[in-house]
Formats: sequence, C-alpha cells, structure tokens
Amino acid sequence: MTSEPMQIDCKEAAKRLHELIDGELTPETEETIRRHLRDCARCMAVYEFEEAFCRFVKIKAKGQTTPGDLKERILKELGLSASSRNE
Amino acid sequence: MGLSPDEKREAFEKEAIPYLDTVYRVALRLAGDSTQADDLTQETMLKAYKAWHQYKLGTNVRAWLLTILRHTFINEYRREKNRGTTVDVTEFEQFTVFHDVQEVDPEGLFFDKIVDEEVVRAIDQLPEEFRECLVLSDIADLSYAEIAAVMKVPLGTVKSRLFRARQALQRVLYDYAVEAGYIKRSVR
Repeated sequence: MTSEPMQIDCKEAAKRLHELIDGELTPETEETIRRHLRDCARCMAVYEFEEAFCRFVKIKAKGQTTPGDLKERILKELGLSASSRNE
Repeated sequence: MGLSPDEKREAFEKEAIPYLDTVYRVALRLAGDSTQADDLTQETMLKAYKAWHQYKLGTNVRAWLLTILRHTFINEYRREKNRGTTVDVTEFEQFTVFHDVQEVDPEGLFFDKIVDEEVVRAIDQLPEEFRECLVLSDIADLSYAEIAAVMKVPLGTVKSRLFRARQALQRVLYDYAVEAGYIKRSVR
C-alpha cells in the first residue's frame, strides 16, 4: 500500500522557502514544497523573488578580497611567503 | 603523530590559506571597520596556525577557522558596542518585499541596481546575532548545522534568525531603492 504524498498549504510553504533555497530540506520535504510551488503560481512567484534576492546578497556581499599587504603580512608571519622562505 | 614544521606549514597553506578571503569578509562584517578587520583576520590565522594540531584533517576547515574568528571577536574586539543605528528585525518578520513590488517588479530586478557598498552597509545595520547568521550563511556559505555549531545555538534559532535577517535586509534595501529612485513605492 502506498501512502498519500504529504500536502502543505501556502502558509507552510512560505515558512520553508528559505530552507528550500539553501538546500536544507530532506528530499521528501523538498519534493512536497516543490509540488506545492508547481500548483500555486503565487507561491512560485514569491519563491522566485526570494531566490533572486538570496542570490543577489551572496554575490554583492562577497565583493571584497583580502588586501594584498595584509595577505603578505600574514603569509610572512606564518613563514609561508616566497620571500620569507628564501630568508 | 605530530607534523614536522615543514609539513605543518604545507598543510596549513593547502587547507587553510584558501579560506583567507572568507575569513577577511566575515571579519569585516563582524568588526564593522577595516582596521579592526585586518587585525582580527591576522589574529585568527595566527591562532589557527598555532592550534593546527587540534584541527582534524578532512573535517570542515572553513567552519573551524570561523569558530576561531568568532571567539576572537567576542573576547577581544566586541568591546566597541556602538556601531550606530541598527534595524529592528522583529518589525519585518513576516513580510517579504514581494508583496510591495509584485505589480511593478515581481522578479526584483531593482535589486541589481544597488551597488555592493550599499548592500554591505545594510548588512552592517542588522543587530549582531542576526548579522552573524546572515554572514556565516551568505558570505561564508556555511550550512545551518555548521552555523549552529559555530554560534553554539540550536538549529531552529539559526533558521529563524537567518530568515528574519534576510527579510530585514530586503526591507532596508527596498527602502534605499525607493529613495534612490530605482523603484516606485507601491501603496498597499
């Protein structure tokens, strides 16, 4: 006997959207949420908006890299830089 | 069995140094200014090097480094409490900006007009425990379980703080986009 697939409503789907975006759901729960999204245009639109926002934040917030002089200082301190190895 | 000094240097260079940029980015957002972030980054990497024998090869070195970073920040850098205005995250708990923009920009394309500096400024306005969660997730790419371990809080707390941090950030950036003329505020 096969069990009925789990059903959720829009409120429950909304609560789990970020877990879905972050890949934090079990395969069963993910499928339940995705099934709801396929059937509910409004929740799908919210999901797409939230996913785009999360992607945007990840890209924009990773703009900085370690300043060259700081990196050099750290490597030298650890004896990892080419110049310090040659000393 | 202990590593020779050369083996230790080699292992650290291979395993830990690739995460230097991640450590620096997280340090910047925790400390809030570049001078402190420089010191915090340097201190974190030196402590990690000294404690390298405690790191289990093959486990998550990024989470290990960030645990050291957070510990160092809390114990030695957090004295400067006054970071200016913070946003009230509870105010935004349930409201995605989607409801405001669904008629004019349902895909949120206006976000792309906002420059990096404005995004990090908005992140810096989040209260510390929410900012930490968002930074560990969206800058350091840690999983919820890894964030829970680094912050020593339950998984449910991570989920709730991250969700609220993102909603608050979304609202702050939406307000900025309206002010900057990137999108018209809709009347709900």
